[in-house]
Amino acid sequence: MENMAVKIIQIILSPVLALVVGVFFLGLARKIMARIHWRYGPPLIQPVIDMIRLFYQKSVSHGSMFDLGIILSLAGSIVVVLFLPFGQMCPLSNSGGLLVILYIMLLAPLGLALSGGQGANPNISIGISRKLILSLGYEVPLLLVLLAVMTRYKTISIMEVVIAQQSTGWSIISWPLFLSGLSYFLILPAILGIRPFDMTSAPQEISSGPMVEYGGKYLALATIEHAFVLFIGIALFVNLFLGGAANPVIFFVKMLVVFVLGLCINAVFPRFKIEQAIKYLWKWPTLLAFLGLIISLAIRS
Amino acid sequence: MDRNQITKWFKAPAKMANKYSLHAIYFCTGCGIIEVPPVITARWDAERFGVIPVATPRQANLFLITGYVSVKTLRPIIRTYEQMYEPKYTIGFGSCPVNGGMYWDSYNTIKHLDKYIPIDGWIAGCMPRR
Repeated sequence: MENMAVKIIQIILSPVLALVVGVFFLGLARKIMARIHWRYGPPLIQPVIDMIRLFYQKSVSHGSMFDLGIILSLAGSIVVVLFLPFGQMCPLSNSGGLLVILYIMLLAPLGLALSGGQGANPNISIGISRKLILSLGYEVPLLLVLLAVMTRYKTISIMEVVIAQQSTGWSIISWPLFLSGLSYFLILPAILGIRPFDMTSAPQEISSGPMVEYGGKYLALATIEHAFVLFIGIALFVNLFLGGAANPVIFFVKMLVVFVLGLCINAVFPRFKIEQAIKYLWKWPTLLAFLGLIISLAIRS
Repeated sequence: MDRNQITKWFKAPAKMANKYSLHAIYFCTGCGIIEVPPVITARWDAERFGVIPVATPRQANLFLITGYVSVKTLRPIIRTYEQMYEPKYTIGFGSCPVNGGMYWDSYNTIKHLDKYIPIDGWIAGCMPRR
C-alpha cells in the first residue's frame, strides 16, 4: 500500500520536475546565446514571463483537431517522461523500456502535424513535411544506437542499463558502445530541433513553420512541449551513455553539461537545408551506429 | 529585475507580463527599419526587457510600422493588425506615419495612420534628415 502511494506521488512529481528542468533550459539557452552574441540577454525566467503573457492573451481556434493535436503531442511527451529514470526516480520502470519509449516518442511530432494540418497555412505544411523527413533521418541512427545498447546489456529496461553502468563504468567510454554514444551525440541537435537542424521551424524562411498559426494559449502549450522535448532527448542520452545518476542533483548536472555543449553547437552553426541534413544524418551517425551494433553483436556471440 | 516589483507581479500578473514580454512584428515600408537591427542585437539589446522579433502576427503583440504608408500598403497593414490577438499594441515609427513626414504633399501616401488603425504610441523623427 505504501509502495503504491510512493509510486503515485512519483507519477505526479516527475512530469512537474521535467517541466521545471525543461523551462529552465529554455531560459538558459536564451541567456547563453545572448552572451555568445555579446549581449546581456533576458532574465533566466523570461520563458515563464512569456508563458504568463501568452496564457492571458486571447486566441482563436482553427477547429477541434487544432486543439486536440497539441494536447495529444503534450500527452505523448508527458508519458515518455514517466518511462525515463530521473536519478533513481522512475515511476513506470517495470512497465516498459526502450521499445515503449521508441513508440511513444513518435506521438509528439504526430500531434503537432495533426494540429498544423487543421491550421491550413502553406508554411505549416512545409514545416511539417520537413519535420517528418527529419524524423525519418534521425530515427534510423537512433534505432541502431538503441539496438546496440539493448544487445550490449541484454535488456530493454533503461533502469537495468543504468544499474549495469554503475558497476562497469559509463558506456560512452566502454569499447563498442563508444561508437553508439558518439552517434547519439551527433544526432542530438536533430532530436532537440536546434541548429543546424532547425529548418523545421525556421523563422526567416517559413515563418517558424508549424508554429505559424499558434498564438496565445496554443503558443504557450507549444513552448511547454518544446521544453519536454529538450528534457527527453538529453535525459535519454544521460541515462544510456553517461551512466544515469544515483540522485536527481547529479543527474541534473550531467544534463546541464550535455545541454551547454549542444548550445555551443547551436550558436556557431548555420542552418542546413533539409537534403543536406538527411545526407549528413544517414552518413556519419548511421555508419557509426551500425558499426557499434555489429561489434556489439560480434562480442556477444 | 527590481525587488520592489515583486508585489506588482503578484497584484497584476497579466499587466506586468504584458510589459516585460513584447513579441514584435515589423512592417518595413521605409527607412525606419534600419533602426531596428541595432536595437535587437548587441548595440542596445532589447531582449533584456523581453522584446524579441517574431515571424508571424499570431505570435506577436507589438506591431511596429516603420515608415511611410501608401494607399496600397494600408491593406496588408490592416490585415496584419486584425490577425494579431488581443491585447495588442501598435507603434507608428518615424515622422511619416505621424503626419506624412517628407511625403506631406504626396498624392498616394497616408498622412495620418491613426485615422485607419488604433495607434498606441508614436516615435517621431526623420532619419534621412538628421
